[in-house]
Parts: sequence; structure tokens; C-alpha cells
Amino acid sequence: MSDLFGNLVHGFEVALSLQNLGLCFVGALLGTLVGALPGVGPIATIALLLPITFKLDPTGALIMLAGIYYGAQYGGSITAILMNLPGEISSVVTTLDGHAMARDGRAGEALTIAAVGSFVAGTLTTIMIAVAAPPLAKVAQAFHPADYFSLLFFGLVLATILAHGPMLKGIAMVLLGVFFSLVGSDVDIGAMRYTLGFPDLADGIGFVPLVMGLFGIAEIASNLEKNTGLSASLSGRISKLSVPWASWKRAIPAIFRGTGIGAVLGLLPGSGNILGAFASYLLEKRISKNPKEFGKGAIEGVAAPESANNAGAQAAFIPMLTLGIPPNAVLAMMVGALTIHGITPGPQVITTNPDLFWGLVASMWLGNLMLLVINLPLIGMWVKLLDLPYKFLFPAIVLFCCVGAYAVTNSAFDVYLTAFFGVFGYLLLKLGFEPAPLVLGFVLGSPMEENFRRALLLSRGDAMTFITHPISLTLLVATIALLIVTLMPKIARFRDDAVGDS
Amino acid sequence: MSETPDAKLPLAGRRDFIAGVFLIAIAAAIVYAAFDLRIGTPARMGPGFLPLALGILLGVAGFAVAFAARTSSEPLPSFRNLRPLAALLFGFLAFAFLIDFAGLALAAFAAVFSASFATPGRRWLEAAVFSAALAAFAALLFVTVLGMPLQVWP
Repeated sequence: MSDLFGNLVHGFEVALSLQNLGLCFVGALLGTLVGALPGVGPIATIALLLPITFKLDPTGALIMLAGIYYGAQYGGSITAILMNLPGEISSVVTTLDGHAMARDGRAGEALTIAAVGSFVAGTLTTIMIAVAAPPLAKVAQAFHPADYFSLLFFGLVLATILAHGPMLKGIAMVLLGVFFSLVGSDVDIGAMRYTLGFPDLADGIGFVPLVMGLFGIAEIASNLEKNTGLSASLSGRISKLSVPWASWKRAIPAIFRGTGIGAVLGLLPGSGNILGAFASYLLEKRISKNPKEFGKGAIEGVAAPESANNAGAQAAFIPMLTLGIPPNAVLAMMVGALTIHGITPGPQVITTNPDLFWGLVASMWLGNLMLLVINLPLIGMWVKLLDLPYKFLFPAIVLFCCVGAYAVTNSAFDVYLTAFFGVFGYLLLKLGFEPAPLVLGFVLGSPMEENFRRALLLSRGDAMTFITHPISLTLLVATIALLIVTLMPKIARFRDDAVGDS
Repeated sequence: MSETPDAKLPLAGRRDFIAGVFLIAIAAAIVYAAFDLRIGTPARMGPGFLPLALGILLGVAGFAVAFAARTSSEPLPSFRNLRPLAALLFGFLAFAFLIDFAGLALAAFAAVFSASFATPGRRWLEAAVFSAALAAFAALLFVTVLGMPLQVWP
């Protein structure tokens, strides 16, 4: 226990340096700013803001990204509550009662509860990460490449099953993502694969061009086409942020219940935080004395899913930091960002780079605190921002994408590549594919191939190595069981009700 | 999300059918190109082994998606309003083309100016002033403040 305390103190020493504190602050501010834009979800926000972290040291960059991440989440809540426009699926639940409250003139109350709920959830899950991550990483460090491959495979399958949208199309997207990760020179003998004769592709497809194309260009283009979010009306002016005592009394237990549900479900790959938000909302409705209020401005309907969402978003860091497995596309972005800074996320990070790990844990809490003490008073300003016409905002976003894509390797080729993925992503959206599983497959593709081939190399080509290693065997059996269970019609229907779209 | 179901819509006009065909086409290209690489055996895999396996799996997924279109009658969305995409793309291409020899200022101006025309009813002068302002801001932010090694002028 004293170890934990010492580690946390060390983390705060790192995070509280003037530079890192400033980065966390700027990150949270910019994250909220971009995340509050209608139609720009957390994934797109991180993709757009990634370039400003390039010049920083890895620790500073990750701390800033964490700030951006929380800011983006909270920015999404602002848009959901005030404009009834969820930036991501998990804030759909928030719009139900949050927007109803805003129409009643209680927008300030809803936003305050959302911020306090997120803060409480963030605090508790930060402690959970600090306690659970080091022992988990120790276990993972003993993994054989065969175990690691099976773990990645298991994670990817679980993520696909739990992902939002039709499962078949999700699987296709994961496969495409893995394929894109194979482009470039082969790990063993350096043979060129699928470079189409472009020498710039020898190092593989860049992470930034891929996500910026898929989420930047493609999403903006289809937003502009649909014209949604351009002229959505604000409902409810913010008069006061104070929350009456009666509301607190109802909200506080809901915040704790939401945090619990969110933290557990957030560990699941795929749509853990979406499930958490939905599940906590349903629970509140179930146990409420007056369930009829839900959908018409019940405070629990904002407090619980917002807390669950934030708890889930943060719990998801555990598999990423300890196993190197990003459970969702947002954290896949974090992995991509770390890779750009030369750090491979995985169990070794805690021991080889304690500054980064504990600094990040501490800044997670600081980021949540900043949202509370800085963003809340600034809500009036965010609201003004929503009045800004979209037509002035998106050209600025385009420019950010261009500079960002160029700046990674200082090559114009990456900007062309971004344009290519823009068109590709646009086609995918038109054909009803979700680009998020593609990003997951892309990020996990290379470590999967590497460990797969390494395992076979160690066993001199004997594929039995995946079965003779007990951890690997267990994971593979679990994966197969999972696949069989999911493909059974009854469960498939349940899954569709829970996370699929209509 | 779903539009009025239309059972009479021919299979070839359904979104999911086209989505399946789209996947099959990509899979075919992947498999075709995989044969240029050494495939190897499962025990001694060549660089082409995994791409080939992925291509085959993707093709199977494509068939499954196309097959599932029997029960979903969502039509292919229209591609008529391509103005936003075209304006954004042109902005990116202009930036990529200009950045290496014309510098950040001109490339940024071109990108923003082009992207401004993604929404209908933009006036030339307004777009030009706005683009110039954003280009100046970008030069200040990226080069002066963030210290990126970018050339500002030709």
C-alpha cells in the first residue's frame, strides 16, 4: 500500500511540474473547444489535435492528450445537453434527460451535475488504475509471444462483438484495418508489401493520415452534406449553474452507481463505455420511485450515464497501459500517438517509464479536476462558441489536418494519403460501415503479426505452440466459445438490442 | 436511420449488396497482389501469407454482407451532393502540392480557400479574407509558437 502511495506521489510530482500542468490545462481547454463542435466526436477531436503534441516529450504529450481526451468527452456532453446533438453514441443517453432539462431552463443544473459526476467517477477510477495496473502488468510481462498473440486476438474479437453496428460489417472493417497495417516492408526479410511502387509507403501507412482521412475529411464532408449541426438551435440560456439541494440528494447516489457500472463495463473491449451509459440509465429508471420522469428531465438520467461514461472512458486505460491493448478506437488513437513518440504501450511501460505511467495517472485526476474548476465557469463561453457558424470552423479544421498530416514526417505524401483515406472513408460511410473497428484492427495488426511470427519462430514452425502454452490455450478457447455463443441466434438478437443500430 | 422499407428494390440497388461487392473487389485485389509475394507455408510463412489469408477472409465477409442484403432493403444513399467532399479534397491536394516549394502561407491559404467552398453561397472576397487570416494564424501558431520546421514563404 505504501508503494502505491509513493508511486502516486511520484506521479503528482511529474504531473504538477509547471510545464505538464500547463499542457494538461491547454489540452483540456482545446479538447472541450473542439469536442463541443457539433458532429465532432472524441475520436475526431483527438485526431485533429494530435499534431500539436508532436514537439513535446512523450510524457508531456500523453498528459496533454489525456487532457484533450477528457475535454473532448465533456465538450460532447455540452453539445448533447444544449443542442440535443450527441457527438458519440454514449452521449445519446445523456441527450434524453439532459436536453429535456435544458428545455425546462435547467441547462446549468444538468451541466453542473454532468461535470461533478464525471469528476467523482474520474477520481474513483484513477484510484482503481493505480491499484490494479501494476499487478496486471507484472502478469502480462511473463507472457510468451504465443500468449500475447492469443490475447490480442481475443481482445480484437471481443471488441468486434461488442462494437456498435452490424457485426459482419464490423468484422470486415477489422480485417481491412489489419490489412492496412501490413502495408510496407515485411518484418522478417523487408520485402515490400502493397506499396504500389511508392517508396514513401515502405515504412507503412501512417497512423495520422489514416485517422485524419477517415474521421476528419470523411466525417466533415458527410456532416456538411447532411447539413446537420449547421443550424441546430440552442435551447435554453444558462441562467445559473447552482443545483438545488433536492436535486443533489437524488443525483449523488446515481453518480456512485453510474461510476460502479461504468468502471466494470469500461474494461470490456468494444463499446464498454456505451454499454455502461445505457446500463446505468436503465438501472436508474428501474429503481426510481417515479420512472415516468425519465426522458422528461430526471436528474438521475444525466448523473448516472455521465458518470458511467467517464468511469468507462478511464477504466479503458487499464488494458491499454498494462497489456498494450486499446479496448476502443479512442484509446487506439492514444496507442497511435504514443507510437509516434517512440513508445510501444505494453506491460513494460510501468517499469521502463514510470514517469510516464504515474505522471499519466496523476494527470488523469488533474484533468478531471480542471474540467470541474475551469470549464464550469467557462460554460457561457462554450455556449457562445456553439453560436459560431460551422462554415468558419470547418476550414480551420481542414487546415489543422493538412499541417498535422504533413508535420509527422514532413512529407507531402502523407497529405495525399490523408486525401485518399478521406475518399475511402466517405465511401465506407455511404455504404454503412463504421470506421472505428478499422482503426482498432490497424493498431493491433502489427503487434499481432509480429507476435504470431515470433511465436512460430520460437517453436520452429510448430503451430501447436499456441495450444501448448496454457494462457494462450485458455484465451483461444474463450475466443472460440465467444464466437459460437454470439453466432447463436438468440444471443445475436440480444446483442442487436443492446448495441446494434436499428 | 432506416428509411421506408421497400421490398421491391432490386438487390443491385441495395446499400448492403453494394457494400458486399465493394469488399469482394478489395479482397480480390489483395489476393491477386499477394501472389507477387512469397506465400510460404504455415510453418515457414513468407511475406505474402497473412495478406493472402486476410484477403480470403475479407472476401468471405464480403459475400456474407452481400448475402445479408436480402433482408435489408435500405437503398444506396445518393451521391449527388459531392460538393463538400470535392471542396475539402481539393483543399488537401492543393496543400500537398504547394507545401514543399511554395511554403506554409500559400499552401494554407489555398487549403482554406478551397475548403470554404464546401458550403453553398460563399462569396469570393469573404473567403479570401478569411483564408488569409487563417493562413497568418497558422504560420504564427505552428512556426512561431510551436516551432515546427516549416518554411513560411517560397
